[in-house]
Amino acid sequence: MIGGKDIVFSKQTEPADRILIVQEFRKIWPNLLVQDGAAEGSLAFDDALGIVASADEFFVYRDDASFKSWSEHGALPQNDDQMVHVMVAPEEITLVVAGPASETYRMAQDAVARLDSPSGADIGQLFPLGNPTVANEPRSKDRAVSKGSRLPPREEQAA
Amino acid sequence: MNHFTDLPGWNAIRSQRAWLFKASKPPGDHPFGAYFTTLESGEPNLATKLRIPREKLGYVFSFKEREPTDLSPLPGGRGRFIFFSPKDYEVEEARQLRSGETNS
Repeated sequence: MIGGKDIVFSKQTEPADRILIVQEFRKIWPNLLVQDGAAEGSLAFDDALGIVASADEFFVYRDDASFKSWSEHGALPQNDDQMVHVMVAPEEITLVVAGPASETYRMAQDAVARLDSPSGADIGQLFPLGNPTVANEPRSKDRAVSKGSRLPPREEQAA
Repeated sequence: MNHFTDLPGWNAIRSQRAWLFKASKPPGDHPFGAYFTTLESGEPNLATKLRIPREKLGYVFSFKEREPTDLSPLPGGRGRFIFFSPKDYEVEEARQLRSGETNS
């Protein structure tokens, strides 16, 4: 009654983290769609920034066909590697992907590496012209928190 | 607490007076165990959150947890709603709430 691989990354999270994750995915999936965890419909990236910046749980689909397949059938062998489930807590990010040899796993690892990089998720770099949804968030370089609290990602194994 | 399954699973589990949820190795690298969720059948995007085929949501067993609980949360964000027992998990009649089709 469970599928996927859960990649858990400990850090003090901020709204820019969510956007960075989806931007990383967009490098591989240019036509990705985002769905709020509690919503029925999905949105293209440019229309989903509000969801991405604020939601604690959302799904990222490779494209519209992937979204429709997941909505209709749930997980199938042919669509499993076309969706990433993102959950954000104050001190933890979880990315649920298809499996250790999957494209979604590599995408998640790249996103985690970016989150863990010295520049981290700087909202000013992600949106140099500003983003109304998160415009009031201070730039991460102005913050005294988060950088020192990062831990390596955990790939959950047997309890 | 809920356990979703398909028709063969439902028939196998309900064939005994005490429900016995067999521990098994799930797809991926999750721990060997019997898996449960606090999410209800009407939860939006339930199959997506559990990352399972929708056909596995056709039937549900609902029961009361022991106090204190003897189920462990899955590490990470899904631990808010996914729990497991590392071995076969029996639910005696006194804790059984309902079982049947979900209309999912």
